[in-house]
Amino acid sequence: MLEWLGDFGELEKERGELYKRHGRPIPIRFEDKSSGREKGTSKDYDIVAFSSEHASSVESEGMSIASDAEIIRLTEDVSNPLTISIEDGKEVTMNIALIFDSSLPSKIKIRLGKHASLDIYETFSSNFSSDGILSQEMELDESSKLNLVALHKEPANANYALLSLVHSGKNAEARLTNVFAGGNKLHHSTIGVVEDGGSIASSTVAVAGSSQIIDLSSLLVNEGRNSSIESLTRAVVKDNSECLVKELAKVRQSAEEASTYIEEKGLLLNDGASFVPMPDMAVDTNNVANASHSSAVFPLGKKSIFYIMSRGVSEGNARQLFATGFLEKLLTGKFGSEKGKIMLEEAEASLNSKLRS
Amino acid sequence: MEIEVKDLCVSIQGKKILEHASLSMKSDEITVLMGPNGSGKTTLGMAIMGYPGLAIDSGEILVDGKSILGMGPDERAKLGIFMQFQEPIEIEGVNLENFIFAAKTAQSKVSARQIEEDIEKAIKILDLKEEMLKKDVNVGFSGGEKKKVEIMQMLVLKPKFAILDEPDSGLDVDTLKKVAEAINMYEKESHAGILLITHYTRILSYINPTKVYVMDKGKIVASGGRELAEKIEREGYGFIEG
Repeated sequence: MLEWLGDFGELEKERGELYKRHGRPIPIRFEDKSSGREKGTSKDYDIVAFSSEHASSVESEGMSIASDAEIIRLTEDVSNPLTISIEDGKEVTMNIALIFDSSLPSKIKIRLGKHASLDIYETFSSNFSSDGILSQEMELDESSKLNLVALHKEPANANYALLSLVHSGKNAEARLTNVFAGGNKLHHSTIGVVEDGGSIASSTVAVAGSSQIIDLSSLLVNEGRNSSIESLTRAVVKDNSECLVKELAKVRQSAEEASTYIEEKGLLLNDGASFVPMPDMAVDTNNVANASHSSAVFPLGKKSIFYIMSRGVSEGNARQLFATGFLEKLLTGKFGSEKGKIMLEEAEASLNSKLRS
Repeated sequence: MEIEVKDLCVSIQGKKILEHASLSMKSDEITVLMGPNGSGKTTLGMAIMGYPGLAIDSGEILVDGKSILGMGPDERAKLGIFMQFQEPIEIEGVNLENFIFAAKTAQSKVSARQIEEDIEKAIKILDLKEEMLKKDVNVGFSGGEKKKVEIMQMLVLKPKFAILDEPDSGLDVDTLKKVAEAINMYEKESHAGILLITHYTRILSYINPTKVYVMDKGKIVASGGRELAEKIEREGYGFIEG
């Protein structure tokens, strides 16, 4: 058991209070089970992890797996999770495919030793549109660096819940980028704790369409001195979809000179779409470097579309131009390595495909 | 290209804005549309460009004798109609250069090299900074820069007919002169038709109109040549009420 999770119960209570204050508009329900296959994924992975109620081996159509890829079956035994452990001082870059064909809960642990560095690119998919539940624990030891980019492209009728727990130790840096370009009902909760001099920089990019519900919530805690938290969310919402973002930043009394910033922005492509930002803060110290939040909802108006169309661009392309431009800000600079560049292309293609659908 | 607006009645959410407006414009001519604030000048320009927020109650807009009322703004742009906006919108995340490329390639088959050359030329004519091309469209631009960037788009897109909606408002003397020079140069080189919408006469110190129309309360109330603009300069718009 991680030591920092000793406080987990209290954090959960605080999150409960946040819900009490704002209400919980979306019950976590997973239904609409039906089959459907996703095709066209073609990439080499270092690890392919799958959870399946249907098969005992990976049978992901169209997926090319490098010969040296480690193939792991995720089990419902959360006390025995898939663990990625990077030793002190080591630098590693890896691609992971996570295939969820089971509604049973799965767990992944990422541990970075002192001064270790990990660039990890995760692609979430499903072959059978199952509902999925995954928790991902990230523990960063002193002065380590994690750059995690997760691309979610589950089929349009898949429902899933994700829990990310991040502990950024002394002077450690966690950069988390989540791109949501698939699924139906989706709930993503993040709990992050930062120690002295450490940081968490989280970027979330989402496209919600076809009456989809995306429910994002975070509890981000500055625990140590000079710790830093930044959480940026941008969502493009269309059709009759809803995206809700509830975030609470908490600066503890011990977190002197800490900084925390939350930004939640949504672009509505049509009248039926809805984006509800709910940033919140609780600062327990008088000596804080920065504690601020901002939120905005931009409905895409007739005049904006008209402006682009008056230059000869079709209505569909005009909407797409706005949407990709809006999201691009958060994608820039997050995909440094060669594997990252491939991932960026894939993320952009997935987002564009969802915007066009 | 010849554009005829015939007996056009337009309303917005039930409120009549244009009432039986008629005017004609063609290539190689600069038509000036003047009138006090709120007289319907911008609405007329938007109606020609096809703004979907307007209800066309009756009348026609013909391009070379054919109605364009059923066409979307993008189709009208592909016909060769361009509109410079008074308040162009900001497009976050899309840089100006990419936007111009997207617009130009949507309208015609032209090489990237040719577009680059046209952009370079337009930047020089309008005395714009090259770094602006890498900035998001209209984000953080000053009023003068926005006007210049709109005119730059006209120079690169090379329309057959340009509707310029108050290209002179809010500009200092030097910027006004630059913008007017660019409009004159484009009209002469391309033989395009231009509809210049303004309520001040100061831009007419640099631009020589072929025709002048005056609009008030949604109707064309006077038409003539340069002398009509000079009368407005001397007497204001008071005479149109008499």
